[in-house]
Amino acid sequence: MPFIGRDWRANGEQWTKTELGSWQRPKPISLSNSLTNLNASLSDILNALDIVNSVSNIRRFNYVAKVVQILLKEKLSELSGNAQRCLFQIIERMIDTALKTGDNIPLMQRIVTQFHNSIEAAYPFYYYIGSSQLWQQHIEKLTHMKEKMKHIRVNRIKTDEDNSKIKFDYLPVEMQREIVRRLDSGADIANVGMINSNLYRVTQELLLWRQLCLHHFGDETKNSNQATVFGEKISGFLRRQNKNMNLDMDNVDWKKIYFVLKRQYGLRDVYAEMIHQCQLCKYLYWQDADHPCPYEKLSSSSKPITPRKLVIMLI
Amino acid sequence: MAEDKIKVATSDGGILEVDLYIAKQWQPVKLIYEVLDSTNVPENPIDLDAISTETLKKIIEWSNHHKQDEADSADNSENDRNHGEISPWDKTFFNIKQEMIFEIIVAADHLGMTELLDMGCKTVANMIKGKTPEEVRQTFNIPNDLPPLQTAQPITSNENQ
Repeated sequence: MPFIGRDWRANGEQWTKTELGSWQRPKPISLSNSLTNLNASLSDILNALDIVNSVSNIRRFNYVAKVVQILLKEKLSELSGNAQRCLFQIIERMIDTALKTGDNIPLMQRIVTQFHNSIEAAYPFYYYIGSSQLWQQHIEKLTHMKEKMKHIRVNRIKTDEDNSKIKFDYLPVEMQREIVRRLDSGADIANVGMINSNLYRVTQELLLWRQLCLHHFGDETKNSNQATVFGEKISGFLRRQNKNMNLDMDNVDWKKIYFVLKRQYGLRDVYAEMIHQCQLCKYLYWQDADHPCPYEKLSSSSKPITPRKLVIMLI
Repeated sequence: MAEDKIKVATSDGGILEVDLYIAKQWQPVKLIYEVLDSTNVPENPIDLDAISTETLKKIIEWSNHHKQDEADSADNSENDRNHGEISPWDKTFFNIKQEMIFEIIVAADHLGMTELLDMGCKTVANMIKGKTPEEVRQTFNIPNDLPPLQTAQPITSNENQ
């Protein structure tokens, strides 16, 4: 059978240099982005979107983290070996970025622990795609990552201590309140409340929780700056409460409402930069980048894709 | 017009010269100019006695960099808690000792500079985000005065970003 592949007579392969200094094959961005190409696998699409390099971009980090988390928690049984390898690459890059900037280390620890637990729980392989050696390799890699992060985290916390003249504790209450207002998760606020009796008082203020509820579960339209527009989720909950007892609007326990609604609806996630899909040619691309749309004459219409929708599309 | 400078006196006796354009964004200075005739530059330096010289220098540095932001004032009401909003320059700006960050926050509140206050508070909030109470205590050196009974398990959220 004659040799029909590329031999010494053909052009050589093309390699491009990455930011790290290593070499990589060029990513065929044009090919596997459209949904109509049913043969596009997860790793192809992730490569085309250049996820591995966008992790170092701080605006895209949170989005990628959410996608990774959804894939690990729910879709592990549907990930092929190649997809898992791609995922490992992404996680390794994320850990490097997190260690370099010092942000998000607890998040990375959570992700690695989750991955570790899911893979361990996948034994004995009824719904895990891969041989036992692969499984073993993965477990080792994840354990190694965990150790690396644990070591760094302890060092970082120690170096932040300094004998400041103005300590956080001595800030005026209004300033403490302003800072706590900018935490956007109830868990963080509750943790701050457990630090100190002064801070406990600050975090118990109902106005704080009310604002948090409105931010996460309030009306999504932009005109809802009025205090009276509560949106579907909150009004529904209040109405149900009202049936049991007489509700006093001034004494609504917003903290309780927050945790109940969080269990029911989940938190609202805001990302600095999201992946969009062009409605015309079904192309996927990052918010800041551009895409070669064959329908350029028509007005561009693109929809932002939440991480969950992206996962559904990919799998 | 931007060349006009006025003098301000700080809490530790220093006297700094500031562009009039920047100083007029500060509450105390605005009040004084409303009272006086706008063409009369006050003879004596304006007293900002709650703010130290070093803090004021940092604030002036920030104001100089953000001069153009005042012109194109975007609608900030939606960006309340958007974590991607701290620009790289601001991040470097706030990469300083903790006590300086707190002094800047208090000074920004005193001067009525909402943008700077917002950035400062977001920076501190980012330092708190995701940490357990004990870690936050270590980071900020806060003494714990709660009796052991009240210290329940810290809440770790699985759905956090």
